[in-house]
Amino acid sequence: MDSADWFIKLTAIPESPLTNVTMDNMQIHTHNFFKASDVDKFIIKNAAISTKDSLISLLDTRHLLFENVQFKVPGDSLTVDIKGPKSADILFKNCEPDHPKGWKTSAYPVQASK
Amino acid sequence: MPDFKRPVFPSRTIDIRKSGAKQGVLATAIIQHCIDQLSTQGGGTVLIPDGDWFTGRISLKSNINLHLSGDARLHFSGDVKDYQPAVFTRSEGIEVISLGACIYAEGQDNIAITGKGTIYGPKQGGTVRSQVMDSIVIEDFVSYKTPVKNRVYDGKNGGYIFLPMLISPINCTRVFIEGVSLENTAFWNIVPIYCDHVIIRGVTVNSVGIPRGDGMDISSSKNVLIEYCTLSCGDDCFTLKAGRGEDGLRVNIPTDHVVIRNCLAIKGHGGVTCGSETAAMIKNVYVHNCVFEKTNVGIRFKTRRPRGGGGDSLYYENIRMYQTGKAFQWDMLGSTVYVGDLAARLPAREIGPLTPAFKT
Repeated sequence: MDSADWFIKLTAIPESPLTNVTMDNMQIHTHNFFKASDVDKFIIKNAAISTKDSLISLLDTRHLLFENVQFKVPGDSLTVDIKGPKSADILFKNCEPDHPKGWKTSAYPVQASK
Repeated sequence: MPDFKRPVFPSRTIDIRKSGAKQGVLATAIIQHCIDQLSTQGGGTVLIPDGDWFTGRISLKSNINLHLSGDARLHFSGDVKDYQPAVFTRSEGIEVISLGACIYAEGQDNIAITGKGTIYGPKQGGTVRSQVMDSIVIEDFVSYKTPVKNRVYDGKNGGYIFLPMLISPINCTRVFIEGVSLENTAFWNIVPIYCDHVIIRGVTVNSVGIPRGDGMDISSSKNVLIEYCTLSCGDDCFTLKAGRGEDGLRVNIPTDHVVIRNCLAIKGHGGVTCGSETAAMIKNVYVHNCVFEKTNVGIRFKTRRPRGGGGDSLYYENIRMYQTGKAFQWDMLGSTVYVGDLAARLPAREIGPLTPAFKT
C-alpha cells in the first residue's frame, strides 16, 4: 500500500463480531492506523507498517495478534487504547517495538508468569 | 471454478444497416429483430458498425454475440416508453418488474457483448431519470410480502420505475462481455443476476459523478471471472452482492466462486466491495493482482443488521493501493438514514435470520 488515510477502519456488530481475518505479507504506508470494534480473531503478520499516527483504538476486540510486524511510527512508540468488557487476548509477538507504550509485556491483559 | 473458454458463435453475421438501421434514428425494433432472427437460426453475430446508433432496451437471445465495431457508439434512449413492457429484474437486491437493463437477457444461454465500441446509458433529461423511485429505501417501498408478479413499476402514466442497469442478464448461463466501454449509465453498469459461468474481460467503465454508478455488481451469480477491466466509478467499482434482507433470504441464491484478477480501479467508493446486499452469502472469492488508485476505500465490506447472510472465504492477494482513503473497511452497521435505530451499536440485538456475519 503506497499511501492511504487509514489502514483499517472496522465497525462490526456486537452480536455478530467480525471473525477469522488474517493479513499476511504487507507493506503499509498510511496516515492513520487501526480502529476496530467488535472483533474476534484478527491476525496481522509479516508486515512493515509505517503510520504517521500510531494510535490503535479497540472496542470489544479479542484475539488480536500482531506477529512479525515492524512498526515505523513517530517516536518508535505505539499507543493502544482498549475499551469494552470483551476486549481481551491482544498480543504483539516478535514485533518492533515489542510492545506498546505503557505496557509491561507484549500481551493484554498481562499474562501471569509461569 | 470451471474451465473457462472463449465462447464460440456460428459464423453468420447480420449488420444492422442491412436490416434498415440508420444513424441518428431510433433502431430498437430493427436491432431486436436482428437478434431474434439470428437466434432462431441458431445464433451468430449482430454487428453494430462504426457510427452513432440509437436504441431502447434490447434483449439478447441464446447464441447471440452483439458486437460493436471500434468506432461504434450505441446510445440508449432516455424515455421510459423505450423500455416497456416491464421485465423481471432485481433492483438493489429486491425482485421487481421494471425497466430491467439497456442490454437485457432473461433465461438465455451463450450470449456475448464484444468489440471495442462504446455503450452510452440513458440520455440525460428524459423520463427514465425523472420517474425513478428514490424517495425512500427500496425495502420500505417494495414489501417482500408482495408477490413478485405484483411488484410492477413500469412507468406507465408517469408512475415510478426502477432505473435500468446498463447491462444485466438474469437467469442466464455462459455470459461473455469483452472489450466494450461504458459511459453515462443511469445506475449500476454490469450486473449479472442469477447467472452461471460469466466472463467479463477488458471492459472499461466511466461513471464518475453518477450516484449509484457502480462499475459491476455480481449479484447472486456463480462461477464468474473478471479480468483486465478498468473502472472509474461514481460508486463502488467491483462489487459482489447476494440479495437484500427478507427478499434476498427468500430467493436464497449466493454469489459463489468469483475471481477478479489483473484489474484496475482508478476512482470510486470501494475498489472491491462485498455488500451491502449480503442476504444469501458472498463466498469463495479470490481477488489478486489488482491496483486501486484513488478509491475512497480499497477493500470494503458492507452489510447492515437487517440485511442477512454475509461473507465467507474471501481472499485478496497481491493488491497495490495508491492514494486510497481507507485501505480496509468493514462497515456492518450503516447509518440511520437507511436502517434507523439499528445503526446504533448498542444495545446488542438478538441474533436472528437477518443477522449478517463476515468471517475468514
